[in-house]
Amino acid sequence: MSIFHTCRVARQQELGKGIFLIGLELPLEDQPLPGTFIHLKVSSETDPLFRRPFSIYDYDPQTGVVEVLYKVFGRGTRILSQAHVGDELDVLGPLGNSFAPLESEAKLVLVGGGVGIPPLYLLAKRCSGNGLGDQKITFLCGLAGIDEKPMAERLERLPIDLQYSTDDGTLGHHGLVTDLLTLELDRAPDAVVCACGPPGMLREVRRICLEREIRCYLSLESIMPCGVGTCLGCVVKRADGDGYRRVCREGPVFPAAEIEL
Amino acid sequence: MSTPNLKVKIAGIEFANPIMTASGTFGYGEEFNEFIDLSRLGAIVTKSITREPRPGHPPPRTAETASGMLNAIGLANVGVDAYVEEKLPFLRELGTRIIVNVAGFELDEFLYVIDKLNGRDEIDMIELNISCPNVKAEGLEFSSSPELAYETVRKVKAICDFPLMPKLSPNVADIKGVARACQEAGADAISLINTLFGMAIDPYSHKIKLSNVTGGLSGPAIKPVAVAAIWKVASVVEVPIVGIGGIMDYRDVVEFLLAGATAVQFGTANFINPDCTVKAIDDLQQYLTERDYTDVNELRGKAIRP
Repeated sequence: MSIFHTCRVARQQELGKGIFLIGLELPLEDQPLPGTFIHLKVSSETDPLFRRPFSIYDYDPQTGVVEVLYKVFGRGTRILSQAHVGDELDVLGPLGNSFAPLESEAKLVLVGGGVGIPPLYLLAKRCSGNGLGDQKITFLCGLAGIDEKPMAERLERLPIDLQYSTDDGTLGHHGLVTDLLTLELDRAPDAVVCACGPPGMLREVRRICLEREIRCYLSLESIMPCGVGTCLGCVVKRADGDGYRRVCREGPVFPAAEIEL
Repeated sequence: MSTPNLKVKIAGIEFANPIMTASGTFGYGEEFNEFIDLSRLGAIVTKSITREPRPGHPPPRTAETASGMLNAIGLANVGVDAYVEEKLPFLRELGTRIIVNVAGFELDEFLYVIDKLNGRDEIDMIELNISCPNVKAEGLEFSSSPELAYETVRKVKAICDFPLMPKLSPNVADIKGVARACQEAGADAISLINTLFGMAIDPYSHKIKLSNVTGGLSGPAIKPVAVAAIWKVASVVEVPIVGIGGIMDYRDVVEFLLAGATAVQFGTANFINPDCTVKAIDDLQQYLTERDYTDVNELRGKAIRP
């Protein structure tokens, strides 16, 4: 399947303050794998120049609509939030690798911080749909405050153990999502951990898991000019000291032990 | 009506069209093989090769600027031995011209790398990177003065089996003088411009955006600088000029040809639209047809001829 697409905006909805859900008509041959991303040109102008990578949040095979959940942070996301239903956007994708198949694991702990939630939602949806339900998936959802709860809207509907932490204490645990991770891993030391979120959170998740020798996968974000492995701009350091790996091509999902943050 | 000719000739070599890829923006070609038909390109210019493999600079390596991009990748590459063994065999099969960009931190490194490439018949031309702004060594200044450029090109040319095309920097006082010196030293063609020296700082975090502090500026922001440089150089050399700098589509290609270039290279545009080159070939053909040109070479220097 070609990676070049011109996609009609099928929906654009502000779910909460600065939190948007955009749906793009992008019929795929198969269900998108959790962790893969699309590389969006938010405007046809040369400024901003780069595309913006967004994890795939959800996909509806009936309508062929790929959904992206995003928060307005900078110019790119602000321009994207101004796209209207019916507009056309230039899209490359789906790109990148995905989380390893985890359906056969006994216990999954997913750690999502803010805009790191979307790829983990898709992972949780897939795994819970494939029989890993009930108490087998714990989703630790880190938000700034209850204002960001729309980011977790669909998580609420999955048959999973969902726990919140907030920076301001307005929802769930008052503190870091990694506090919850430590508690959870005390209870389930044989779990597999998957995480996506801000760099500080990922560093801490990695440290906790490596210390306890727990298998852990991290989905990384990076400034990503090309998205297809050519510019070498989005690299992350290899843990074995042998140079770098490309977030767009070998990633965005990496075993935590293989990279340095 | 017959379709207009797109073929151009540089250093006695015929290229199917004037559209090439700029070094460092197209990997070793194989990265784009699944996206576009590489055989359609006028030439592929591969990523700078050095004597040893280089991992490149730590991240962050790139930053977005107004209609532009700063990069300090640090000449990350597989090194000349792996290039010859692992990359050239793929390139040979493509049926397009192959230009190998060679970088070095000192003259001896250029000579070493060229010596390793000599005799490989899959190579059509060498582009000599005497202008990378991201390596902190004496090598940085190869194209900074006419004297140094002359010495470098002369010594490389003496041992090089292939036509030689030095790539010039815009970060110099006298680009005309450097171009003239390259021609006198035996250069078969000249490509320009490499990136502009640049830097960016985040106003909120107060952090410098590149780990290398400074980097090379590319993209549409530098296009007028490139056009002026080509115009200047075209007035003092007879060898063909390959224009580079912010080209995004066929209109930019036409602009560079009008300023005196024989061919052009697409750089940063490959990052934004991986199919920009093949689109530009189609669009250029259509542009010429619609305007009753029979040959793309008619455009060369048309805007600057007295």
